[in-house]
Amino acid sequence: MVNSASNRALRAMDLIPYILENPGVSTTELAQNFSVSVKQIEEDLSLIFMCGLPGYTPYDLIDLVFEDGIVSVIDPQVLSRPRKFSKAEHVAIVLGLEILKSLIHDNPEYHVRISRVLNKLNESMPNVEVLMKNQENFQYFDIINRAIKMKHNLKIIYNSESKDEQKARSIIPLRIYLQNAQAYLLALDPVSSIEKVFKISNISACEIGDVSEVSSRMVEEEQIKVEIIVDEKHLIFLERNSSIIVDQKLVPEGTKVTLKVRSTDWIKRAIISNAPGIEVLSPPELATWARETASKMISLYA
Amino acid sequence: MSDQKTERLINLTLALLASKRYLSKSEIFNTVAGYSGSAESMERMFERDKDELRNLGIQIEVRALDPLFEDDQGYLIASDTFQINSDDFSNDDLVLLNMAANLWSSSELGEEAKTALLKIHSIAGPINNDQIFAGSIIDNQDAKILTEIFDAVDNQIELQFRYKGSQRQVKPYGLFTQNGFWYLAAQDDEAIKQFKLIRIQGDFALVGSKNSFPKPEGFDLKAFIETSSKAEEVTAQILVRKNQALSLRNQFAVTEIDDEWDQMQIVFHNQEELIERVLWYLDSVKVISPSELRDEVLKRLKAFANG
Repeated sequence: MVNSASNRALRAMDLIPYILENPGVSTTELAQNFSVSVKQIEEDLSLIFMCGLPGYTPYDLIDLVFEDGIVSVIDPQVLSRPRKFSKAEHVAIVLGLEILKSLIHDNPEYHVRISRVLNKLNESMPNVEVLMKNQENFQYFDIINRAIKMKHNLKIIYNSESKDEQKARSIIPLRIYLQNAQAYLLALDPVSSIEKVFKISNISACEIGDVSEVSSRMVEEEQIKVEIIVDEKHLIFLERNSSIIVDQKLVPEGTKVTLKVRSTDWIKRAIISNAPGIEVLSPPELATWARETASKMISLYA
Repeated sequence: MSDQKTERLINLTLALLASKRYLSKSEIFNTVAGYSGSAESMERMFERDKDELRNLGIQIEVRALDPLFEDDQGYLIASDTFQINSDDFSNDDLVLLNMAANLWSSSELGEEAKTALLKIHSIAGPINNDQIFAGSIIDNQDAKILTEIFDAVDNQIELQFRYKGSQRQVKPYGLFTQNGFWYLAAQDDEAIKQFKLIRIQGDFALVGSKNSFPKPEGFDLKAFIETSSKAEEVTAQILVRKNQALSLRNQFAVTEIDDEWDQMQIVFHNQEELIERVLWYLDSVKVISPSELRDEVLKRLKAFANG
């Protein structure tokens, strides 16, 4: 944030209700939360001492206690409540609530509560032109979240799309994240100590297991380097998989891309499902496999 | 100098916020700390302060103090436009707001989420609840330009960028996210079109000043999204090998045909999505009908095999 007089005034006015509701907060915490230095927070607090309502007697000024790096507000004057959310803050909260609604889809009580909060927010700030379309709903969020917090294993039945198999597994859940509108669970395989990613929509059963015994030994899964050329009609492949692209450059045939993948099962199916938009450059055995598989598939239609 | 100005801006805000009635300029100059000098210089100082506070999003209301003398104006900040009404949100609501803002902590909206969290924690203190969710959103590349594009939408500033090989200058009306990607709804020449932010090539620029165009009165972002991305659903009959294509089996009903194959009717939002899913299962799935779809699948496989 630019430290202009006006932005500093805003920060000072935001500090008051925050300190009021968090009495005894330290200047170090304030500096961290407000993304400025401790020195800046101290200067802001010194400035606030001088501000208040017309009259400017001791009873009209904002009153703070600021000792040994600990701050409390005695009299906030009219700044007892925080400023309204800005439009950008409003957007972040509203979209976040829409995502939570999709994550907690199987909990009707939460659903009602989220819808109620969304209504309140949207009434308070109409005409914000940012929307989320067709967010997919997910199951088991509640159970997974509880297992993470309790540090328990999860017993799941997982449908692996890249292996086309269904398997019961016991995993140590680490965290949930969302990417490309899909919810994923990052978990540790307790046997191999390798981190694995599970698409939550592919979990078909889920229950909390025993207390996790997390091994300190984390094994890096081997990654395979794949070089491909993607034609311009299949840009969506690049957009969806940007997180595993390590290099890309434009060539006359399209975009030459180097990927690092953990699963050959996945890349094999991805190449065929985007046919003929992806040409495999290396490894050569992948290129051979892809051509032979396509020929085998053609023979299905003979 | 900067301290004095900051102090004056805070004092002016507090005075206008605390007052139950509109304050005249002379009352402001006489009572608010920080205004001094000639009448002209105080006037200039006040106009600049007023503009700065408005640029920060603070709504200063103006009303004629005497209906017969419109030049004599009064100023006020209504608390309901400046501050969150703490009574609007229960503790349960605050837990949800906290969870929603926290989702963005490691994304490009992280800064907005952080300032929102400070305000949430200023309503009723720290949120202590064991339901707090520690998940996060991982951005695509397009999120990097999101806040600037949002500024252009919010402030009605035209945007210039290169898209699908040609230079565009558009009037941005709204933003939406679908399948994890951000799209801009904007007027490009005569038509309102959608632009996928990740496909904007190179740099973009905000052109001109704020409020440089009016948004069409009848524009409804929700309706625009519905109509612009409406596609006819595609249905196909396929054969699926026994115990294969498990995700499809979870989604659609099967009819047993023989020892090797089951038959299935599948429905997808569009043909591309359907072909992609069918090919994903390699030689475990075969399209029977419609014949155009079958031919298209075969054409793609032949082009690939002969590539």
